[in-house]
Order: sequence, then C-alpha cells, then structure tokens
Amino acid sequence: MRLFLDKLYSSCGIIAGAFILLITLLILTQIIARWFDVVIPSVEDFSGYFLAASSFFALSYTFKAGGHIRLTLLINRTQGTTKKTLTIIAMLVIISAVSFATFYGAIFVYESFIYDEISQGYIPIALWIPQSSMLIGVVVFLIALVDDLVMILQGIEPNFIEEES
Amino acid sequence: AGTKWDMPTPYGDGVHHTKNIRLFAEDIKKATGGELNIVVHSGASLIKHPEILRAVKSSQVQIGEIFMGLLANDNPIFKADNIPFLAPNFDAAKKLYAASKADVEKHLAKQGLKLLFAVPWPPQGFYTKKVINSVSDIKGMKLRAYSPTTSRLAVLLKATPTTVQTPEIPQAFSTGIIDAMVTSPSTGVSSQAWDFVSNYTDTQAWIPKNMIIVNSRAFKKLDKKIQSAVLDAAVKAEARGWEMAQQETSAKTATLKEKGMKVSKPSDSFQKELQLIGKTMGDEWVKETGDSGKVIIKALK
Amino acid sequence: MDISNLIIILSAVLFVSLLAGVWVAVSLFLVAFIALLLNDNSNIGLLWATTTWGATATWTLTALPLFIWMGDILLRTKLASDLFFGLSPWLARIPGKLLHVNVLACAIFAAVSGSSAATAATIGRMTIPELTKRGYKLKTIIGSIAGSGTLGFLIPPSIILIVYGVSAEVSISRLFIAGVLPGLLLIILFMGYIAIWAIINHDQMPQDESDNIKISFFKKIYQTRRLIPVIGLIVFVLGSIYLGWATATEAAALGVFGSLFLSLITGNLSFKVFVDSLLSATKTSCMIIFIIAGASFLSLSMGFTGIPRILAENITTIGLDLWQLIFVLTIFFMILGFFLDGISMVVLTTSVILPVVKAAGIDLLWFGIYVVLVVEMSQITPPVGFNLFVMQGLTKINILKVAQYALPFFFLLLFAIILLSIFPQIATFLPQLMVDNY
Ligand code: NA
Ligand code: NA
Repeated sequence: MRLFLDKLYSSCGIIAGAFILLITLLILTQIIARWFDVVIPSVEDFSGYFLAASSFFALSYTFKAGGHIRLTLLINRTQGTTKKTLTIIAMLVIISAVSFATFYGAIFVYESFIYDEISQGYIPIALWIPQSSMLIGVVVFLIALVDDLVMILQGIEPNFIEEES
Repeated sequence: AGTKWDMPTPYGDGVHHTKNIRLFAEDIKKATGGELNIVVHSGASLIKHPEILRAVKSSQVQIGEIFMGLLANDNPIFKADNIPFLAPNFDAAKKLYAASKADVEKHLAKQGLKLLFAVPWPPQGFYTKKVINSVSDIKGMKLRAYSPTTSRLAVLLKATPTTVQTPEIPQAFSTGIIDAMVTSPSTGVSSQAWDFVSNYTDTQAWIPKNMIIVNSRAFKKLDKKIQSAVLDAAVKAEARGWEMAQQETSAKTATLKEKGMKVSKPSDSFQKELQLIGKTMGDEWVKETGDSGKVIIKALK
Repeated sequence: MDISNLIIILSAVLFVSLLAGVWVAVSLFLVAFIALLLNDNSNIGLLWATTTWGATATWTLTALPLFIWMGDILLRTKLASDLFFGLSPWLARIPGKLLHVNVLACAIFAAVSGSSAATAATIGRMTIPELTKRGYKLKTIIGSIAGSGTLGFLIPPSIILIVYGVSAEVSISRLFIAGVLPGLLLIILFMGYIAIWAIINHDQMPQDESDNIKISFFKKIYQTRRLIPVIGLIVFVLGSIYLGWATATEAAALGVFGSLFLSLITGNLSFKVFVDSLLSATKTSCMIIFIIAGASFLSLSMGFTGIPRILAENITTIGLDLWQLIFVLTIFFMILGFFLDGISMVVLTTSVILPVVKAAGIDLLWFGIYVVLVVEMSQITPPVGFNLFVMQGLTKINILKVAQYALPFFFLLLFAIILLSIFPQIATFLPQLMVDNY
C-alpha cells in the first residue's frame, strides 16, 4: 500500500512535468511553423489545458515535497501535543476544502459531459476531457492529504513537515 | 427587499455595448422601483468571457453578455453574423438577425437560456500596414486569424492566416508577426491601432453581434410585473443599441482618421472581388447549416 | 450584511487561518467561501469550479512555468555561477558588490518576462545559492530579489500594463514605453539603496578579500568571457521578441530551448539534470498556480460582495482635490494590496476609479504607471504578496520575514510614487516623443 501510494504521487509528478515539456514543444512548434507560414490551430487552448493538467497533477506531488507554502511560525514555536493538534486542525481544514473541490469538480466535469460543452477556439474539443485533469489531480491530492493525516494520527511525521523546516 | 442580479460582461466601459447595458440596468431599476437590481460587472471583472455562457446556464449568475460568434462550435447558426460580406450593412444585418433569431432562441432555450436582445458591433474593416486596393494587394500578407472563419477568409484571400492573442496584437504588428487584421473601428480605437498600423479600409465585411442572455429559471422566478419590465427594457435597449452601434461606427471611424490613419473605402472592383469571396463562404456555410441556412440566405435577398 | 462588519469578519478569518498554519491557497479559498456564503450565493461550488478552471487553463500563464524551468536549468549548469564569476571583477569596487547582480539580473529578465513572480522565481533560483556560497547574508539577498523582482511588471512587457490598457483603453505600446524611464528610476533607487546600505553595514558584507584584489583591465575583460553564454541567451530571447520570431509569451519556450542548448554545448546536460530541473520547475509553478487559483476565487467573491467597488465609490464621492486624490488612492491601493493580487486589484476597481481620475484631469497613461507601482508594492506586502510566496518557496523562510527583509524596497517604491507624482514627465516624456515623431 505505502509503495503503491508513493508510486501514485511520483507518477503524478512525472505526468505534470511531461505536460510542461509538452507546452514547450507545442509553442516551439508554433514558432517554427510560422516561419513556414503554417498555422498550428488552437495552440493557446492546448497550452492552457496542458498548464491546468500540469498544475493539478502536481498538487499531491508538490504537497508531499513540502512545496505548498504556509506560515509555520506559530506551529514551530509549539511542541508535543499542541503542535500535533495544530497540525491536525490545519490538515482538517485543507482536507475539507479539497473534499469540497473534489465534489464540485466532479459535478463540473459531469455537467460538461452531459451538456456537451465544447471549446470555443479553432478546434472544437469536448471540454470534459481536459477538465478531467482537474478532477483527477484533486482526487489524488485528497488521497495524499488523508494519507498524511493518518500518518500524523499514528504519530509518524509526514515528509512535508520535515521539508518545511 | 428586492432581487439582485449579477451581470458579467466581457468588454470595458468605453465600448457602446457596456454603456448600453448600464442604461438597460438603470431602466429596469427605475421601472421596478428597485425591485430588480442588476449589478453590471464590466470588462470581465467577475467572470472571464469564455466562462460567461456556462455561468449563466448553470445559475452561477442570472444574466450575462457574450459575443454570439463564441458559440459557433456549438451551432453554425451563431456563425451567421461572422460570414464575410453576407450582410455588409446595418439594414442587411437587421434582416439577418430577424431571419436567424428563431434558430438562435431555439438553441439557447435547449440550454435553459433566454435571449433578451442582441446589439451589433460596427462593421469590420481591414487594418493593414500597406495600402490595399484589390484582393491581390492582400495576397501574401500575414492576416490575423482567430477563428476557423477568419482563417478560411485568409486562405481565400491568398493571405497567410496567423494566430496572435488579442493583447499581443500591437507587438505582433510592430515586429512583423502579422501585417493585417480584420476588426471593427471600435476595437481599432480602444486598442489605439494608429500606434502600430497606418491603413484602415472600411470594407464593411461583416457585422457581428453581442447577445444578452438570461437564465430561464431565474427569469421565471420573477413576478410577472417585473418580467414584463425586463422585457420592455430589453426591447428599448435593443433599439438603442443598434442606434448606438451606428453612431459608434461614424464616431470611431472619424477618430481613426483624426489620429492620422489613412481611412479609405474599397473601390467598386475591389468590393466585387470581396463579394465573390463572401459568396463562396456563404455557400460553404449553407452546406454546414442545411435548411436553416438556406432560409436565412433567401431572406437576405 | 453591513460592509464594514463583512470586512472585519473576512480579515479575521484570513489572519487566523494563516497564523494557524493553514496553507496560503486554502486560506484564500476559505475567505472567499465565507464571503460568498455571507453574500447568500446559492451556487458556490460551481462558481469555484468555473473560476478555478478559467484561472488555471489559460494561455496568459503559460510563460510562468517555462521561465521557472529556464532558471532551474541554468541553476543546474555552471552558467549561473559563470554569471557571478564574470561580473565580480566589475562590481568588486562598488559598495554592495554582487548584490547589484540581483537588481541588474531582475531588470534584464524583466525585459523578457511580463510577470513579477516569474522574474523573482527565475532570478532567485539562480542567484540565491551563488550569493549564499559567496558569504552574503540571506536577508539581504532575499530582500533585494523580492524587491527587484517587482520590476517584472514595470519594465515592458508587462501583464499588469496589458490588463490596465485594456480596461482603461490606453494604448498598450504607449504604456510599455511609458514604463521604461520609471523602470530605470527604480533600478537606480534600488542600486543606490544597496550601495548606501553596504557602506553603513560594512560588517554584514562578506569579508572575502579575493574579490577585492586589483586585477588588470585586460584580466577583467578575460574573466568577463564567462558572461558570453548567459548574455547570448538573453540576447537570443530578447531578440526573438523584437525580430518578430515570437510573441512575448512564446519567448519563454525559446528561453527553455536556449538554456537546454547552452547546457548541452557546455557539457552540463545530462538526463538527470533535465528531469530534475523539470520536476523542480513543476513543483514551483504548481505552488504558485495553486495560490493563483485561491486568489482568483477570492477575487470572484470580492466581485460579488462588491467590497473593493464600494470602497472605491466612497473615495470618489468625498470630493478631493488632485493631490488629496492621489494620496487617498495610494493608501487605498496599499490596503487593497495587502489582500488582493495585482491583476484583481486593477480589474475590480478601474471601472469606478477611472472616471474620477479622468475628471480630475489625470493623464490615464501616467495613471497606468502609477497603478503598476502600487501593484508592485502589493507584491511584497503580507499576507498576500506573490513575490513573498516565491521567496518562501525558494528559501523556506516565512513570508512575514521575507516581507520584513523587503520592507526597504517597499519604501523605495513609495518614494518612486512620490517622485512620479511631482515629476509626471518621468512617465509621459517618452510616449510624448513618440507622438511628436509620428
Ligand atoms: Na516585464
Ligand atoms: Na500584498
């Protein structure tokens, strides 16, 4: 299980990185194509989708690496049970927010799907496809958060706390 | 207490559309004695243009304004006012609107939306670095394309369609990424086109419209009296908006001239060449739309 | 609900949430959520989803991860340290020495990037480790980068000037030109401050004498050769914009390509460097975009509650004279800047403020530059200041400390606003030349 979860987060990180690489390649292609008077359609749409995909896929990976920032100044002045309680409260707040995001993210994508929402640019794209990246990213993020909360409750210090100091 | 509606619009306060919407909101406030208060959020300050339709549809806001052509991928009927030289003056544009309105309303109704009114932009003209007197002058130019229709237009003009995002247009002109674009005198003035391009050819290529849509459920929730106040205000706003668009056309074209741009009308022979291209694109559009397109083309004749 | 009560509640929520150690993005989300709740919005969930999608799936942000990646590649090659090696003989005799690299590098990079967060992230990534290695105090390094990173908005291209130009209907190319002299003014102020600070606080500068050894002019030139690759890269990216190969957004991709190419020919590129730099950039950009998403939800909720609009309306009805108006607006933007990101600040208030500004006889071009300066200040004020977030992301030093380190630069920006108000020509002179030459 531990191995599977860690693999999940790191794969999401690699996917997120791949999307940034894709944006680079896409834009470079557009620049070169312009020299030859060729139009690559919907580059701005696709780079936008790739950016969203990268950002959402990277959420869990970044969290595990302690990349998301917060003010630890008060927490770091406390110790023992107080510190643990404060950390648990912060975790509960973020878990509630991300649960909210998961629920409405799902409704959002589902509505795009049943109402056949399509993009307004050059190439019509069924919007639920790029939007799924938001949902998947948020779901994995939620898993990662619950994973760390469980660790804290078990008395194990999760990686992000170590990375923060 | 009264009802408050939030209304996102995409364009800034200087554009006649936004001025008209603000008057529309005021009219309703007056007519209902403050029972319905529409708060206008101009310039995409609340919700960005691509998301406004969705926001109205799913009751995130009750009412909004969008560019009709934005729905072209959903239904080709929304492309009607973007086909070059199909309805190249305000009278024809009115006819086109009347002929396509039923189809537009039907499509919107399916999505739980109600069309309140539509107001045109000034007719579209060519902004070019060099003077153009015929289609052959456009040949080889890099023409800004932002939709399949404008891209097709570029191809038929034997120009190279080039995509550039709106905020990057000035830089794209001055560095030679593009050397021509088609847009209205309004956009020309609001982006101060004279800083980066020197010729405006008033081809009256097409007259696109913005539409004001309301969420049907939100509308039905209003008292009958307020509903009719909204509809009355909409009729008034539509008439006013078309007037404003015509005034805007002459005022903004004059501004272009004042600021030192070379403003010209295309010669008859140039106009004929352009109409030929318009015919091709009109035929292609009818193929796409089927019967509804045929009816509209017939109404225009 | 009474607006002042609403403001008090929301600020309290923000401060408690941030101090309790809730992640910054989530704290912003929380405030927005409660604002919408108190505003009786019935559809908060979908509003969140629509706004978040719109804010993240957008072309305008694509340059951000690419520029960050470029910085990460340069960091992992010897190019970043070459930059310092090449510059050190020239800066050795100037008080403040290599700290000036932060200002200069940010200024040069600002000519490529339109965003201040990208500028701080890219340059900070390269210079923080190098300057630390050379014995400079972290607080001076961080303060100067957080401060000079704000140049990203003033020196063209600039996202804020584009947003302002669109809403005020002022020519974007003129705004860009108007930003040049104020940009130079800021560079001079920043470097001047660093020099004076270094003279006064001589003991806090690295005492390494190797920098002070007098070397001959020719040796200096010879050592400067190490600058060639980095200068070449900058010229390449800048040139691509001005030669019309690429738009300002696309230039970021050329920056990545150029830095990969450089590291390849200098023998620094390996698969590990490639993957490490990419993943590190992915994390940094995810951190920033996560907060941008929270900030845009907050901005949406401010649109619904109308707080910025109502405050701005109050200012416009007091009936102030010109100087009072500028003074009150500066305070207003400063306070708004504590809580909102720059773009939201401009978008949410221009439609109320611009008519008054126009009526007061203020040149809208000048006002655009003024707005950029107040937005720059907001980048380095807590709790919501994107340059602070970037610095915490890079150094793990918390945003309040970073803000404290950057405080002198906040006052320098304020001083620049005063200068700009007394001498409006600083902004209007160059665009005026452009009109005259038309
Ligand atoms: Na810049
Ligand atoms: Na701030």
